[in-house]
Amino acid sequence: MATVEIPQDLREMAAGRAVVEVSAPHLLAALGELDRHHPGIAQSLRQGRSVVVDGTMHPRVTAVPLEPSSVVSFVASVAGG
Amino acid sequence: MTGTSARTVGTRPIRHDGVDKVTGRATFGADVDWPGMLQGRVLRSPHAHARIVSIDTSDAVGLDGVHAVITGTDLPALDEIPRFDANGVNLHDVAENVLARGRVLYHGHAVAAVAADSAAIAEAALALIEVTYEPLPAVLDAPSAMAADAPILHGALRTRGGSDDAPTNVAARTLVERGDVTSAFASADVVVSGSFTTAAVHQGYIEPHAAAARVGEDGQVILWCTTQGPFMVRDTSAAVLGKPTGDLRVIPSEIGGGFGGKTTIYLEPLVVRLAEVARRPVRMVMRRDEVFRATGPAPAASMEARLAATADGRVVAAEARLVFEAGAFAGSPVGAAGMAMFAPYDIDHVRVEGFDVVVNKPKVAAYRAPGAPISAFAAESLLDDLARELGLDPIELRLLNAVDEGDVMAHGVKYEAIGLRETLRVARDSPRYREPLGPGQGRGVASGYWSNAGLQSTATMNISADGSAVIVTGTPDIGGSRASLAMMAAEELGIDVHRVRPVLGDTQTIGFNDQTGGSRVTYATGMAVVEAARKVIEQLRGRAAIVWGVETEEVIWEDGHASLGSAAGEHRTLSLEEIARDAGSTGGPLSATVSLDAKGAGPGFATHICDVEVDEDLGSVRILRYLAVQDAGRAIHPGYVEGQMQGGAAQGIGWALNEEYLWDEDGQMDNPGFLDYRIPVASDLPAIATEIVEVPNPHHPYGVRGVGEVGIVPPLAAVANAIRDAVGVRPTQLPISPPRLRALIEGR
Repeated sequence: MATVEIPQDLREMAAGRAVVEVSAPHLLAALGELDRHHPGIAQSLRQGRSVVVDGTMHPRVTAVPLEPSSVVSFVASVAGG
Repeated sequence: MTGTSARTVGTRPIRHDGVDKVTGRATFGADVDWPGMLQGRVLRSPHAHARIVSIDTSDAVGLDGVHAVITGTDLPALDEIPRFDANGVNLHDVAENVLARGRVLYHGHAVAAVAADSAAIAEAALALIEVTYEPLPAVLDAPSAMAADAPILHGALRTRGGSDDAPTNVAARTLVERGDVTSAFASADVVVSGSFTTAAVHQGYIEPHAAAARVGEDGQVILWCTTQGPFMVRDTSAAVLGKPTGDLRVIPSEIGGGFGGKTTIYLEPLVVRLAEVARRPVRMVMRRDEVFRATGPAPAASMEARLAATADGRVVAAEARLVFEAGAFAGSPVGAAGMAMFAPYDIDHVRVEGFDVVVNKPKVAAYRAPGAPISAFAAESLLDDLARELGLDPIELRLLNAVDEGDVMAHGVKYEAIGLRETLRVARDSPRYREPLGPGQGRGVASGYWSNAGLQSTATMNISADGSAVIVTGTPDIGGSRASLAMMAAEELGIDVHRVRPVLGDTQTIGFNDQTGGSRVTYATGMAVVEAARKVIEQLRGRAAIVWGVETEEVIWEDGHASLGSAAGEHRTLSLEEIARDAGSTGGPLSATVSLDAKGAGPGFATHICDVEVDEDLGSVRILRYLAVQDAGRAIHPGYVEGQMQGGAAQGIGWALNEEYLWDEDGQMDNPGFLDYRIPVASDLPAIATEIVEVPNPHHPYGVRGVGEVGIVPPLAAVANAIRDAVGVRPTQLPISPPRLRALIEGR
């Protein structure tokens, strides 16, 4: 089960939880799974945020493989100039 | 690499687009001219904040030579378009920014647009449009906008990242946090702190925004414009216009500077709608004052920050509060600024809180390494204070705390191969660091980080019958990337770089590309070019195998030739030209396209040394010497890497010393032109010395990491630290203009 850290402003959408365990083969599926339990959260997680999976930043949500030990967190998105 | 040693990569050929540019033949945004073309102009708000009571366009419509007049009601209503695009861009904000709907949110906000036979007639028509406004209270700076009783710009806005559900001007609160900052500060040997401000600054691109559109009878639109992202223009304009993306073909012109300022849309939907209404092609070119008044600068910011360290110079904690002005719509780079602020240093306890605040000014836009130069100004100033406090050399202090491969940033991203430490060593060991300083002179050092980007790119390689190659990409060349892409292609093929023609495609001739930005083109599009070249080489080997009647695996490719050795010692070769000439007989065209989503863009680091001389009577600063050291991963074209480093330094020096949007009390910009908004010119600057460090990025076939942005991160603090060294008092407000510096010196 990968661990998804929910940003503070979206915890209300996740029943107040700071961390959610998700069983999914990749990040895209994980967000789908999250959204199934907490409708609307996937869209909110994508807006204005980049995602960090096991120490690597990804500018958008893609099918990044997840391991059971994976940790997923969300940070402010970064625009290039 | 295909060959045994690089013969093109690392050399300095003349860029392919150079001759056209220096002889005036290159076609920029304003240069297109189609039969029957009309000229478009925009009516802009004279208020910083007002309700639009009514707009009467009847007199303008009736003026001879006027063919179209549009207002906000001529574009789809906001509730008819999606709120966000796939990248999270707020399309309602974009739509409202390109043409006001019922209210204006800054002085210069577009209210109506006209297409006419000439620009003069269009201007005359603008004067005939009667707009009745109900002025509203405006908020012109972040502290005012954050006050409890502040006028609210957007009634529905709530703080993302906040917990309050009340209307607010604080669009987002960001937080980077690790460890226990409070305890670390309490137990530290030394604490330094400061409050800092920076002004809104312009990217300084010379070419104004320009666009032209023509619409076919079938509704298909050709949209020509100067942009860093033709696919962004297509997708965003289509959304704002309520059209299918497939109906828009966006052709990017040559670009006369972007630096992030051309990563959004302003004129594009207007020119399309005017062309539709007029049923004639239309061209729109902003005047310089419109560029300043109505497009996005880098944000003004205020910052409070502090550092804690041990007595021997180990930084143990860092804390900051950043407040960035977003302009009229949410979206300043405060989050990126917070992540970049202390990224060069391995600090256990970090807390950076950021606030994105809307005010009645133009919506900010990207500018090289968005946000990072601002926060680095505060962080690197404090590093300098810390070095003074501890009696340490500022570079040695940075080396003591520098991040290395394997370290993890406060927001959780782990470093792979990086070159910060190398840039610091090269700077420390440079003779420039030991040049004697005279009276009134000072030396400053600063480092900087930028994350860089990969993202989506597509490249096609076609081999012509004469054995030359064409590479088609979709990322506009804003910094010499065409040359670097052609060089990697030439390296792979083993041919002269000028037998490769790099061509910029449009949205219907090349697959999708994210924007040129994030220093990503030589990295990501370069990967696509290299992979396409390698596919073509596989085809070339296969064709030679057909000619020789052997298996492809027996054929090797080197130095532009297929070759085959035999047991009898016979050696056969076929040149690229020979294979290309007979391609029709061996299987058809030689061509490959690669689309990819590039991961692993290695971050960039730079360290700068600035020597200044201060005239204390005048408050003026002269840059005596300047050295920029930067990790390029691998410099494909060292000359253009140096150009990026020098350009970043020059822009950063302007940011530090001169540049500033000045506003009057009504929110009107006082200096919307390059006479009054002063960017550095050649006579202001010494030759910017450069040293390229090469710590290869393991994710790129040539080791490339982006070089376009990090060079602007250190200069603000490097200049400020040099002035601090010269005058003995810390500048905390940018720009360090003569009046500010005089006041600082007098208060010493």
